[in-house]
Amino acid sequence: MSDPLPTAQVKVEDRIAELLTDYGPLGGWNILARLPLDAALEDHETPALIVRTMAVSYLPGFEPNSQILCKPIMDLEAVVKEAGIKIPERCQEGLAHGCAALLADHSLGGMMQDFAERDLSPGDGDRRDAGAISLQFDGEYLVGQSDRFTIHGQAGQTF
Amino acid sequence: MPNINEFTDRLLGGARDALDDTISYKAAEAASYAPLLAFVEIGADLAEFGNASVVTDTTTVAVLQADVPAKPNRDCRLKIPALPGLIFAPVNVLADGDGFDWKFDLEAVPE
Repeated sequence: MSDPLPTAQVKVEDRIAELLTDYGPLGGWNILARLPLDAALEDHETPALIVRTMAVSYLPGFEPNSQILCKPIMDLEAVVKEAGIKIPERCQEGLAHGCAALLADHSLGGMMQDFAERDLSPGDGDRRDAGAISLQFDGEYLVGQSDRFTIHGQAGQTF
Repeated sequence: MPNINEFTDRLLGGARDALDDTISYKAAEAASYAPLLAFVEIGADLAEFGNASVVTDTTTVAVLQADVPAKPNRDCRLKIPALPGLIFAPVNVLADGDGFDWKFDLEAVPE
């Protein structure tokens, strides 16, 4: 069977991961999208920034030939395991770099109508040698009435 | 009639000598580390975060109160051969072992 055709929402996840991967100050971080939930990260896979879609709501436009405004809540989670100290600070550092990488252009390269921070979680169950903090973002992008694969971006671009 | 408590010190001391590991311990006000026999229970658990999980260390340490009369605190320091290269402070210290032990978790510290 062929690989699944990426949907509009998968394209958003991939764009976020791509922007984070290309951002120099995140050079030591492992950027992961569509991570399976049933297997723990290996030690060498952290520090990691995990990109995940938490939910998407849809606002249909007026008929006919209208577009649908998709409003995803995206989660960026910094997971750090190091046999030492400063776990929460390391997570905060990763997320701050992540913000710098993503929010320099709120359209994520013309794809989105908007993309902005929503809220930051408290430290997520810090352990002696591991910790995580997550930051959520609100996004907005447009798709056609019946097409969930193509994003109608800024200035007539499609993705 | 003999009471089991009369044998407690011999029992606990014997178990410590036979079973425990040698760690380095520095009391809060002490100038240097000294060897100490401690029951080091190496452990690991899954730390499940929002969108990912990692395997995390959950090692605990128990020492006889007879060997460490002052309750350990964050100002004390330990080095454990099984976890090389790290210096730890005791955290979450509680009286355990029918009140004969101090049992605690570890927090890695710079020095």
